[in-house]
Amino acid sequence: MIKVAIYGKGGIGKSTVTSSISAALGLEGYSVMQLGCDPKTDSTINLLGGTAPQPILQYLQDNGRPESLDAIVKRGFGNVACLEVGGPTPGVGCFGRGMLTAFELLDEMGAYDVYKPDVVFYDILADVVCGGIAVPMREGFADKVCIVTSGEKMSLLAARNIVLALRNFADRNYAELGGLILNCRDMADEVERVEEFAHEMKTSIIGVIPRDTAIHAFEEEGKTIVEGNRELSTSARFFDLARTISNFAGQQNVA
Amino acid sequence: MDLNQVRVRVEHLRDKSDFPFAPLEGVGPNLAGWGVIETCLLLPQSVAVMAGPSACLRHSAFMAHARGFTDRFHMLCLSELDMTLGNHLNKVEQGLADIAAQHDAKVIFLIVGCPDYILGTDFTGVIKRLEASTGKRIILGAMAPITIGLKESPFTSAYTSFFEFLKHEPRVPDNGVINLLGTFMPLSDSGELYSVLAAAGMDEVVQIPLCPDLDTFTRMAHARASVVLHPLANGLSGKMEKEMGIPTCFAPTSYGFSTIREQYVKIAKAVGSPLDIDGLEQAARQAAEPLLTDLRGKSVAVGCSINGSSFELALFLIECGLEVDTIFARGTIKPYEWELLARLRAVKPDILVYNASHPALCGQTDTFDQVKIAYGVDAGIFCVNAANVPLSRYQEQKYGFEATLWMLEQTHEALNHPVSNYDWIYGHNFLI
Repeated sequence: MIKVAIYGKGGIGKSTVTSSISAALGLEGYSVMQLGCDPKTDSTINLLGGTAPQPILQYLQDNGRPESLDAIVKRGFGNVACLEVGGPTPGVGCFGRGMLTAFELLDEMGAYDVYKPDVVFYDILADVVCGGIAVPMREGFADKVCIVTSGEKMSLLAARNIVLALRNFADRNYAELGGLILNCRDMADEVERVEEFAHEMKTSIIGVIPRDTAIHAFEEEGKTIVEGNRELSTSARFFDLARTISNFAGQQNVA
Repeated sequence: MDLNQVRVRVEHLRDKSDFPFAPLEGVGPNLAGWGVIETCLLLPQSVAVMAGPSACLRHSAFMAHARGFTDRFHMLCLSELDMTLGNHLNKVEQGLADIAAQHDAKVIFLIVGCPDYILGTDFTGVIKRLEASTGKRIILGAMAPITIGLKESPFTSAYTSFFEFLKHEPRVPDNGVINLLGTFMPLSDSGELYSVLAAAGMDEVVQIPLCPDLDTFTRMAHARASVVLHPLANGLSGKMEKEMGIPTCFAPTSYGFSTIREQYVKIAKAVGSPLDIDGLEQAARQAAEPLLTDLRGKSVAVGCSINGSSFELALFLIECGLEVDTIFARGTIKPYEWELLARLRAVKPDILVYNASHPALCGQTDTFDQVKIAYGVDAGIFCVNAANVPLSRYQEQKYGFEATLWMLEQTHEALNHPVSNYDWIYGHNFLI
């Protein structure tokens, strides 16, 4: 089993990328679990035809601890086990704390033993702004962190912040940096800009997703591009990324 | 005040949701409880450092001092700004290093409070560096009552954390060793359980409060089985069974002869050997009879602060002919007590079960004026005319059939030489 946390600047396409990789891995026969870590609970909707599972925190609030994990898990495309952490009403509460509560619940209920996933994705809402948002990086949770970025300045600044956070936590056995996923915005020299950044950060680009209107078109239908048309060249990029990530399990110190 | 807000007939108490829950609780007279610090410091050669806002720490500090842990308890007071910015990690590291230098203890418990729990502060790096620099084990715990209802209680977590000192111990099963878990005060010397176990070949009984050092403590890893006397220890024993293969059974302190027999059967199954208890039971039954004679027909209330289950004791007293009409409970009715409740419901459905921490009960005593015997200091608070029989975990700890006789002797002692419940509470530092 390999557990991967996906970080990156808000709005950069983390959920789109994560869901598409999950779908590709599912089609390749892997057992996949995707945990959306965003109060908007929209990480897994494109694996579920546009709907979302009941968020874990909301379930806890309404019903207390579930007797079975099935109460908070929905199977999506590719048989991906989809979960959403959920979160507080916008503007109140603490999402980071909520995420930790949900993670602890899954751990205590033996979610990984029950579903036996080959790959687990934590799709994290944004940058590492506080201790709570760093939870998925902690020992026992993600093994690898992948950062979705474009070549835009603000996106690369967020990526730098995430890499620095990881290195700052080096003495705590946190997750390793698995590499960058370039989600293109059609900037000039975008690949070169991100390659230069990767070199500076002593990491690598593990996948390049071209800007493709087909992605958005399928999302309107509640699907990933992989589900919509696996023959498209952009879908092929996700299958390549899926293979790269599945190979993480046998690797150490990828970055 | 309408007392129906506070109580429910036992025939209607079938689920936690039936209990008269108090969204706004009064100061619960759940006296004689143990806290996180006391639990941690059961481990020999340990000290505890509590870090957090001073207003959170002071309660544990009072408790620790009242229990005589003055030299083994430290407070590290932190400011809001330090905690919010994560700067307190450095202060905690420095503070623990200073304390490590002053003590020859081998273990330091770092206990944080609700703020760090909510913030999700990660002490991994601090602990790793401190363990490397001091050579001592640092165990992180939380006194975070905000988790009540969602997680196991803070002191159960603390007790379970003792597993850290056992899991790496190479297990060499020794049929002569048995663990008794969940006791704070050890079982009384020359107790019945010791002799029963010794007769079955187990003459080395490991109880944490009797361990003088960690080496003795780690003898638990080699035990033939673990017997859990209080639910507090179920987490620890469960881990020892699952990860070390040490059989375990939950056989809590009981007072009824049939229940005690059931507990011994469970122990026999866990140790894989029959236990000779027939003679003990017969003798206890004979000895109990004259003690019960003049108690029959008396009105009784049973509180939740007794050692054991108030429902189990009530069941036994009813079987013996006493008039149990009142039980005091809190919202934390334990899982194993629901079966006892079902039995109680069948024999006396009209018993009234009160929520002892419901604000509507504060100052209410008239309702209980007819009660002649009150078991548990919480029952004693409300039953002002009754003889108080604390049956506390701070008194002698009896187990098996001798617990029944001790309970009955204590009852007669209280009837013949009453001690004020007030004096008892203050005399034992139960009010912090």
